[in-house]
Amino acid sequence: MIPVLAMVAALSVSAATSHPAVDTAVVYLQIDNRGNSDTLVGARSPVAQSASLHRSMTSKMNGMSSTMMMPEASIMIPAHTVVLLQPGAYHIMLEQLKQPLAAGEHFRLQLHFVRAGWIDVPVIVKPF
Amino acid sequence: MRGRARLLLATLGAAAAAGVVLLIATFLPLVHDAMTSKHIPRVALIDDRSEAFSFDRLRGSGYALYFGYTHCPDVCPITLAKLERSQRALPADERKMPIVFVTVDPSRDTPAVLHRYLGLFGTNLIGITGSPSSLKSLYQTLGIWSVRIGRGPNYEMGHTSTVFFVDRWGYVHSIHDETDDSSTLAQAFMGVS
Repeated sequence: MIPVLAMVAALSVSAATSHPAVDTAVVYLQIDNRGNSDTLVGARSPVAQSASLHRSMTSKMNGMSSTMMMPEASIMIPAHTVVLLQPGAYHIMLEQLKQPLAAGEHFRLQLHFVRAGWIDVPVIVKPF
Repeated sequence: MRGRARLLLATLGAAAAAGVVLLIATFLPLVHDAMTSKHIPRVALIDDRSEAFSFDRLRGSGYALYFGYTHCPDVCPITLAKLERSQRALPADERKMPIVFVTVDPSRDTPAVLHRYLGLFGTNLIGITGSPSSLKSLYQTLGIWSVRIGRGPNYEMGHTSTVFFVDRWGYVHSIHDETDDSSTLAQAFMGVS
């Protein structure tokens, strides 16, 4: 008998918070992967026209700091690891918000993983 | 004779060492000054209330100066929120020192957009935009660079993320990374109070 359940990536997503600006918002969250490696390849939410994976990178030269924010096609989620999408690093960017997001509200985000498929994530809105 | 020669050598060595210390003490502040003593130029800009703005308006008050864009969801708002927390932690009189946010994305950051955006962070923030030539003059003086990343309406910007603290006479007093914590930034505010 094949242990089917053991073959499935046991992904869970928690601590999802969103901080809205004028017509954009960021989402930070935690991905716990207790199974095989997986890859996050996309996101969508009913509150925004688009949701995409981004990564902020900072560097320093001649005493001055710089920041770059790049779209990412995918984020690797290695087996048996916790991956944080957090300030100044990987994050989900929501653009062209369909409505203003108020602190304390919740909305739904869906994350698309290659192995695990679409996962629903409840997100709470907080001020910066 | 040998004793005198040793004494002479020791004296010369001590004098040389003192000279090196004096040179370092003299030139190190000059290197630091080259980084921080730049004067904010008097250029015609526009604030987030669509009124004409010159940094002369802030003469007599220190302020924090940061460059970014309102479409940025991550580093810019995190930095502004941290600056606002550091500003709020100051004694009442020093709390009046504003945070000035200059856009590096003037085509999207109209005064109205800047006003809505800065309202998310507090009341003592000033948003600045302006003509390409005025903004360029300000950017060049402070060594600010920016680059557009991506096409279409949802492009991003790469940009200098240093925070400048400017004294009441319009000179840059200190510079900080956007990753510095709010207590460090509060101390920097106190340095220009």
